[in-house]
Amino acid sequence: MRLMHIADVHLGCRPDVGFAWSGEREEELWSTFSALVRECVRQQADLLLIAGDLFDGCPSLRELERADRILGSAESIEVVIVAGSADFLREESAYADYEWSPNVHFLKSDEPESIYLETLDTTVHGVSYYSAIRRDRVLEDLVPDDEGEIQILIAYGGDQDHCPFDLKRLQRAEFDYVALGGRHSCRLLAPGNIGYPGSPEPLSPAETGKHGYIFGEIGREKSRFTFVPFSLREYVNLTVRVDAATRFKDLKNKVRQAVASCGLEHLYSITVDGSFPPGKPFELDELRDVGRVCAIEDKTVPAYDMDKLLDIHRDDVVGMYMEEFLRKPSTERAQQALYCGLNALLQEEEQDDDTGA
Amino acid sequence: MTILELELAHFGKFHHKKIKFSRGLNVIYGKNEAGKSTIHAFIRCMLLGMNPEIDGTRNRYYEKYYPWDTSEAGYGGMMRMAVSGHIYRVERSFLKTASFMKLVDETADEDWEGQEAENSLRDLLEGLNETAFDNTVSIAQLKSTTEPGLLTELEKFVSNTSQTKNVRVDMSRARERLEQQADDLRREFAEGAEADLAETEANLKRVSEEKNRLQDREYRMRREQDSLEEQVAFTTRSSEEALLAYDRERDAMRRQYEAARNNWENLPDPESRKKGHFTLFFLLLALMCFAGAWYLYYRTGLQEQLYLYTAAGLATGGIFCLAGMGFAIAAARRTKKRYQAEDALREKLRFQLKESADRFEQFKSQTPVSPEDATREMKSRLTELEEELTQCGKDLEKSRKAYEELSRSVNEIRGQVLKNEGIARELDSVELAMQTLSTVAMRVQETFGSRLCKEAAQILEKLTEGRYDRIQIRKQEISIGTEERMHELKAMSCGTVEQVYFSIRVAAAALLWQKSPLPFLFDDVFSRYDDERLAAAMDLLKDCGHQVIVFSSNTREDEMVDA
Repeated sequence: MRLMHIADVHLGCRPDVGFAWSGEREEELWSTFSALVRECVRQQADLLLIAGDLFDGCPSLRELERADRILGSAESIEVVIVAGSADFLREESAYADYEWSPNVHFLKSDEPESIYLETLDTTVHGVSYYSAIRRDRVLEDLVPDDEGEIQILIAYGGDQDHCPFDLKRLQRAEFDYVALGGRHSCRLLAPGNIGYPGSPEPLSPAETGKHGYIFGEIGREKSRFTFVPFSLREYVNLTVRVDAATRFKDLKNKVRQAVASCGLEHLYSITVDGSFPPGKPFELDELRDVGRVCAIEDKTVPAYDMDKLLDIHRDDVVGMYMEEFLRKPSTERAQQALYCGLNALLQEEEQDDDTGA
Repeated sequence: MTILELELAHFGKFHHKKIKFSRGLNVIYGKNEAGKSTIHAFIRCMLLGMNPEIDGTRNRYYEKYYPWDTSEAGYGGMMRMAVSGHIYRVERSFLKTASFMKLVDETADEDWEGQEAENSLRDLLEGLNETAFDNTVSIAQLKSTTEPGLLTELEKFVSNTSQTKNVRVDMSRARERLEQQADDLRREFAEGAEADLAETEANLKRVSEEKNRLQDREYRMRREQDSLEEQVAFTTRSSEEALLAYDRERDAMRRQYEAARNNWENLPDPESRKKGHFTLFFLLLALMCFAGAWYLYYRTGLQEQLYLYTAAGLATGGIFCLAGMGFAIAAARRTKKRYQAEDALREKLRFQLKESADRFEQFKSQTPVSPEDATREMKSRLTELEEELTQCGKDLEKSRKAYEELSRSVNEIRGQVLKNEGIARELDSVELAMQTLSTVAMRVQETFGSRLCKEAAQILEKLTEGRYDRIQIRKQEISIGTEERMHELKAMSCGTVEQVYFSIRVAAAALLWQKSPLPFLFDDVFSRYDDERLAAAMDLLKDCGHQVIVFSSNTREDEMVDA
């Protein structure tokens, strides 16, 4: 039996609010979801598991119909969904009452329930959320039953605010697969059949790395579960080094090249490290047009030749100032203060009052 | 640095006045108003330049020393000096309209003009500026010999000179720059961003919940709407059917009634009933026949056949009449029966008709509810719902927009909070830099202060011929003395106080200009000294290693020099 496991899709979310590509990103979450379902069909999977947070909040009727259209179109696939912490169910809402297409099974109860899928001889146990936080350890008490040959558990949770569980107990329960949701990056837990697929599209600059789904094959003898990257874009952290001799043009080219080789479609957080000629820091904002740049961090420091300065200013205030810092342990705060003071002390003297031609 | 020669071309009261100096001790003697301060000022202006205006206020020097004799145009002069083995010549014109400066290295045969010249001169003088000049080179008479006054002056002096130690690096300037930086940072800092963020996030949550509530409400209303519409359709249909059935039944009833009426009306009219008189008629007839027959019998006895036959006939006739009467009676009875039956039927029909009529009436009053009436309430509720839905839709739209805007705000403010954190860190560093700078400044002062006291003490020792060899400057008091005993300065005589001041000033100059000693210009400093002290001072100055130019209104110094 082949299955695809996704979670934390957050349809309706608008990542990178305030940036030009934000609206595009919102639509991409939907198009990737649609592509995932198509991929599911293409891979001839029998079962699609959506382990919570399919939506970014309580979905409107329109969003429900759109999602249902996508899922319902893949008639050959059985879909099992549970609600998670972000899209918890509310009584008497369109979400709670919605009637999905016949191949879509939403386990709506907040008590554990199960569904037996006859064509696959599989029982899926699951539980949904009715509030953002639930701390009961309901997942630890679930065990496979006698009905299906294949026994699967689907749920959102794993940390102290969301159905915490002891991993060993879950392993002991001996489900054929435990499909979890609640982490935005993929994680497969030992012994290999318990996993979080992570969001299929990354949602914030902190979520770097690959994103996609977990594909599983459950066979008579053995089973295998692998992570498959699938996202349209990734968040990438880029670090570029400069020195006092680097001109801004060169820096920009360097960044451009790095972005081009990695892929223009990705979303970048750029860190510039190194040094600049004292008094002439780089205007890093102008790097924003090399691509989709979410953030720029400036870690450059002024290129003071400390030894030379100490030598020249051995007897005077500058020397004494530097000594103050060299005497104490170096922290980032102290470093910055040292540079700050040096900058203030060594700046070109302006004309003094009465002297003048 | 040694001043070799001055030429005051046009300066104050002097025109083309030349003065030569020697490398050691020089005394310029002149009574008051002779022009000593003019020459002093000239030296200052040649070294440092003269800006006719500072910030819109006229430089006091410019006005004061403007040439008296304006017959020749010009305001300035020349100074020749020796610095580090080279001989330099400074030429200046101070005229506002034609200011000019030229520096000539006579030894290396180089010259500079304008700003370049100023810069070169400043380099030569190791960055000497006005403050340094007034505090070290130029030593004026002690303004006050009281301790507080002296303390103030000394404090100011120490603080100023310690800061000009390496004048190329101006700490006060540096501190100003740091303060400016700190101010800029504080201005960039968005006050209350964190509070804003908390508030906006709370608002966002609220709006999100409201949005969800509105969504749910809309959904429920839609559901009610759908269900009501179904009900309306169903009720309309069933009501119409009921109406149809009713109509049909009413028709049937009417037909029934009409049939009954027909029957009733078809009954023969009792009025048209004939009265049966036949019985009586036949009876009479029969009686007449019998009477006739009897008469005949009575009168004739029926002898004749005629009479017999007639009597018989009459009798027969009478019998026929009786029979006829019998028939008539029977017929009358039958008819009566018939009439009775008819009456009964009539009664029955009448009853039936009445019943039928009653039922009809009753039926008529039970018309079923029309579809309009049946669905009126539901339809009005539907209209209500429609209105409510439209309103809900509008509210939902508003809520959605508010949510979007708030989302954007939250993001913006988050960005600002992050920026704030960065600014706070920077500010922290700047403040640490300022703190450290202050610490360094204090240390410089202290160091300088203590060194100063040591140097000054040495000079004081020479001056007082060993009487005092220690000077201590504490916060609010100065004391001098020896290792065994210290005395507060306020207990000392004026003369001693002057000596202490002298020692400190000379020591300061010596300390600051160690590399290339600058000349001392003593401006009428010794007039209050007694002869002994004066001699000691002169001796010291002769051997101090600096060029000394003493301006005096007294001939004593002059005499001492020669001695």
